[in-house]
Amino acid sequence: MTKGRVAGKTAIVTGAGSGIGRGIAKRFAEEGATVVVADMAQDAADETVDLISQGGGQALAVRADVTQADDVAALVATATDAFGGVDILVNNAGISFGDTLKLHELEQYAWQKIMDVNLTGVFLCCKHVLPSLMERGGGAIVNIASAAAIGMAPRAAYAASKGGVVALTRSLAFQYGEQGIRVNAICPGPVETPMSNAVRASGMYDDDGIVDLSIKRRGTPEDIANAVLFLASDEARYVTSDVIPVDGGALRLRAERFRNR
Amino acid sequence: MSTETPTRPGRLSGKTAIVTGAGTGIGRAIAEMFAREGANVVVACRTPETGEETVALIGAAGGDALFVQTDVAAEVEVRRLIEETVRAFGGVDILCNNHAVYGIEPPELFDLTEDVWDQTMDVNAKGVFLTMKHALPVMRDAGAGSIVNISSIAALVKSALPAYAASKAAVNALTKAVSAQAAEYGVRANVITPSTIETDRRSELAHTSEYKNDFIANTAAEQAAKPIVSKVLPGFGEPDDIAYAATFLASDEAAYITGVVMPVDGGTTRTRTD
Repeated sequence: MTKGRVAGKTAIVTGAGSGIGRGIAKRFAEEGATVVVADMAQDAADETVDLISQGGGQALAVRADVTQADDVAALVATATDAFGGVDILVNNAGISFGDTLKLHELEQYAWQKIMDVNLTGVFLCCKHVLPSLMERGGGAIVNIASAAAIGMAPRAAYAASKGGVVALTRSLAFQYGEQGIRVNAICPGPVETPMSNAVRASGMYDDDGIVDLSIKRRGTPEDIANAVLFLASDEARYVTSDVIPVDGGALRLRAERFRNR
Repeated sequence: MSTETPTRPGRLSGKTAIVTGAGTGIGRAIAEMFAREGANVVVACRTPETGEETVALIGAAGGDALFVQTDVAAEVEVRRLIEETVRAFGGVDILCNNHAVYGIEPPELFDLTEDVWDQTMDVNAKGVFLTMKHALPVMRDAGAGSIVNISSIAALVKSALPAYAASKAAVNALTKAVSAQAAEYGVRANVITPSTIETDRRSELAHTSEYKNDFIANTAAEQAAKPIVSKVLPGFGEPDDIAYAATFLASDEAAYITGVVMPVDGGTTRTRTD
């Protein structure tokens, strides 16, 4: 029998109640992992778990706000109690709500909220999961950054938060490599998700944003999930500190489409 | 047989892959893994003995492979490689350029001869150009294809091997340019940059060379004792580490990834751990 590529491993995926996070959680379960589905919204997390159960996979929903240390500590404790430890952490939870195309119009509370979720959330989840990974003698962290962190960045707060995630990724790879913990980041380009659909529906951009790509379509959660699966699995045992775009071969951004609002 | 759980189809099932430099080391590991994942593999290299040995290994494991003797720096031979692949298997879905000359230059640039420079460029850079030039029309007609070029960490760091590094930097630039051109007909092109991988060739160089570079010149034991420029993860990489990354990029799992340079280097490019 062909074993799953992450068979026997326990994975925490944050923001797994929808979009990319749900795609990652489902893909991990298909490949044999036990998945802890963490999300702010309990019903969304439950729905992902239902989908995984229907496919014959094993998953547990945990409501957690990644900006709250208590929630994150409880998330890790729940995962450890239920499954004996954690092997994989995917920091996927993220927001872009409130960001603008002009920094001088950005409210400080929106900046702060974006930083809290996208960057502090990653810090807190890593801080609380790393001891579990060390206890296991190794593990993998995959951070979902963004193409915004490496150049395709019309929105400054979001880009800055994701740039922080890339820097954090590299630093953690350095700090914990000796303990057999690998830390990598994926930089998704435009992906078809409820979050990105909401941004497009808001009319922020003049067009659908795929003209700057080599591959003329938006990505799918599965596209991102496949890359995360590779990095989280033992197939990538010699890969750490990588920052890998999954962005349809983004070319230089055409600024004129973003300038007039 | 009915008691066995059916195995899932391979990740490259039904595809035809050319792997250059597949007679030894990383190339052989890639060829074997591609075959295990269901691809028909064309083993291209200059030396019949090693190429046929890779084919035999694949055959013994139940895979399908064909050896085509090829000097990738000679256009007439590359054209024939593509023709024979199409004749045998009906197309080219995956092209993995793994071939390279490595460790043939002296430690100092002022001792580097024009001949060695040209040979390095001919094989490492022109060889990649030629295989892509002749595989792309076949891929374009099929409306799909995946190119995975094996470059090197040397293209990204301050390498001890300037000619080798320049040739591999050319591979990176060439691949990115092709990724932008070829996307419209469904072809993706990506690069893997390995660091030190434990192969026979590396081991040989470790004991004979005079390079001022610990990636090449030190044995594993010497590196462990006194890391000068080290990597984040302990130990050397193995050929399979590159093969796993190549399999991922070659497969449809990477359908949204093109023009990417992916290091498989234990974190080497980013830091000095001492």
